[in-house]
Amino acid sequence: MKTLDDYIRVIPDFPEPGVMFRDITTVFQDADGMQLAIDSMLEAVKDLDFDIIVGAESRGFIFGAAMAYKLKKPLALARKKGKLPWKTESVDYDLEYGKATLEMHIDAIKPGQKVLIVDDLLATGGTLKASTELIEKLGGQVAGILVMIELAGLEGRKKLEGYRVDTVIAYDGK
Amino acid sequence: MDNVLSLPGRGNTYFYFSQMGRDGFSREQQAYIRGLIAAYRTRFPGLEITAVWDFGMEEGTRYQNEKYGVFADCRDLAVSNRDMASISFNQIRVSRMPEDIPAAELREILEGYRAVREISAMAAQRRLELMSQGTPPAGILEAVNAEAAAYLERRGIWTKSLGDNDFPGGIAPGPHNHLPLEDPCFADVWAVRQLEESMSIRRLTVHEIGHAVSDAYGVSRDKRIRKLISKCRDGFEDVEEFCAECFMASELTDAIPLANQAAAVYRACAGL
Repeated sequence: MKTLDDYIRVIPDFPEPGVMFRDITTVFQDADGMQLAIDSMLEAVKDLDFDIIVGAESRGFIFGAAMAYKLKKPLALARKKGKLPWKTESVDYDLEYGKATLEMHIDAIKPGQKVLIVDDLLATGGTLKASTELIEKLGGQVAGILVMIELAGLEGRKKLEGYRVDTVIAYDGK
Repeated sequence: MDNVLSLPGRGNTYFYFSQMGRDGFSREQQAYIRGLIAAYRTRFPGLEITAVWDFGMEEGTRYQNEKYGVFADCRDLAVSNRDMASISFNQIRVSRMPEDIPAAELREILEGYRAVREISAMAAQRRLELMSQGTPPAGILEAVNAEAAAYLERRGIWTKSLGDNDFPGGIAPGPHNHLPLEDPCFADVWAVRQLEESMSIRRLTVHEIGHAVSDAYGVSRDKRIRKLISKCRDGFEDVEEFCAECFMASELTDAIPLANQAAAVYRACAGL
């Protein structure tokens, strides 16, 4: 039987030499792979009490939407700057080269709601850390963070200390 | 922790909590309340909350005073003061509550809501049938009640509380719910009242914020609210409580249409 790892395409030296890029589009392209990914993510948080899922742009939307549908829970979107049409709250954060901004509608989270953040990848932790700050600004309580892949070598978890972080697959390297 | 919250909008919010060890709010609870206030002030910029404090700070006495009596026995858990634009908490009682309503309790209320909605619809249907058959009013009531109780037993809901009463305690009209079982609003009012009776810091805080937002934007005077409450006036103490309770309920769940409709008026009044 195939494991989730079998569905992930590895591209050496992309986007730069020395990096092993984990391409998850191959997971989505395979019906069994997609189901296995969603089922594995649901299994990872089956004991977690939360009210709403926040999907981080952009692949967090895919996993978040499927989980929200399955669990019959609401889904809110954390988007890059300028994408949301209504009143927003925002958080700036640092990227390796430059800065980025994450935004959510001001009514996306009801104050006091327990939130599960979902994304595809935990690398340096910058986006997920910004997501926690944004959710807390809106009055939400971060109940947990769930990602499909963790690149443990980048030590993104350190940025997320104090939060429960669940991953489906962890790779030692970068 | 800084005791002042400065946000764009209507002035600062000052926080004053008694330092009382186990008989008052912990630092975590204070931070939780502060987070809720900050979030709602961000969402409703016209919301004015000058002070958030506890009875101990408000009254200058820790355990009792003339206004509230012995705090531990006082029915008031939190009070929104329109004139002072303040919210005060009974720190003795509220600090013993969980921050949020437990998931199992919320689930139970929502399962109950679905059942009550079915019973209510069934009762309305049964009443019509019996009336068309010429059954006298007393006989109608008896038949409707018997069928509602049988329904509950079949579903295994609240059977432990079925006693000599016509209805189990969980469904019987409460202190402010005087609507008949078959009223179209009965189930929604029942669900809002159940949430209102749940005890958590979040529930209490959001209820009081519901009052404060209503005061800030004139929600309770809005004709859309008047129209809404006209359908279920006997279900609530007054229009102010109707607004605050529905606002609170809509913040805890999206499942109750009556609460969602009131919340939509809140948003419209606030220009959101």
